[in-house]
Amino acid sequence: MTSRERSLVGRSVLRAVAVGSLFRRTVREPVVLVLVLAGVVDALSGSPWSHGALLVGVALLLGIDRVRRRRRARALGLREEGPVDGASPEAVEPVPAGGAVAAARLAPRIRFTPVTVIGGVLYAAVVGSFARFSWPMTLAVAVPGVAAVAAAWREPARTGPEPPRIEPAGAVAWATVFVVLGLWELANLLLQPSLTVGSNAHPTISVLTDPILASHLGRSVFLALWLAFGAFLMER
Amino acid sequence: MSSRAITIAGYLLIAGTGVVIQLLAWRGHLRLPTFGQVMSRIMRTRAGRVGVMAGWAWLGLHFFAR
Repeated sequence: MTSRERSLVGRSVLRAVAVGSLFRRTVREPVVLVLVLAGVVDALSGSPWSHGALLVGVALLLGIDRVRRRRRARALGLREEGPVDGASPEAVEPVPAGGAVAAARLAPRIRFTPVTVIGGVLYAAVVGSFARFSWPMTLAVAVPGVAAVAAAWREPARTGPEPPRIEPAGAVAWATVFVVLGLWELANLLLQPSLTVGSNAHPTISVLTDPILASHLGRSVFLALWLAFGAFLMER
Repeated sequence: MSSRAITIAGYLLIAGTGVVIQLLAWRGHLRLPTFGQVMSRIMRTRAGRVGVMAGWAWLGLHFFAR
């Protein structure tokens, strides 16, 4: 084997190792891959570019953040992947001055109090009066959406008792529901006359909800549910 | 049964399965986790938290925003 052939083989091996490493990292943290795939499919289905850009942009930031934290973990002598004696790359996120109390205050908690519930209902009633896909509606939805993502980003690594482990059967059960839902939606999207034209025979969720969201009441109810779901998620 | 009816039945079946899993989890059957417990586990890390909230934000944009 000539030196050139040995060099080519060596490069192929290194490439295979890099791909394998990337695959293992993706499987361990599939969020980035899911966000990129969802963003690409969303863009291909004719949605405004900003929707897919949100997902892909967040995926990009998470990827950059993960590389940064792994480098920091390596510099501190922690293992790159997984916890060691309670430490993990997540644990090397900077803790603000003032310790745990100050850190806890960074993360807004949405409690279901009468004030927040009434506020949410009023928001839904007012914003629901805006026309769909109008600029006022876009801003009214984008602002809380971006704020929630920013709040989730700024929240420090969770301390305290670990949530109970999920049994594999339970994880599979829930994963199956969402994967099947995604595939059913994708199948109906592909059975449309085109990706950007809805079909009465194979309606996607968007097509099915169009009549409901055509009315002020429908939009308000949907917005209230969306807000409540967001508050529920922020409490996790 | 028309294609539309089959499609809607499919969505209802999927949603119904999720409801059944949630009810079984609440009652403590089969050691199934609730949806909230699954979300708590996923959102333990920054990637999980941010990814889930980005998905939630996207939902709002998809149905309402330009």
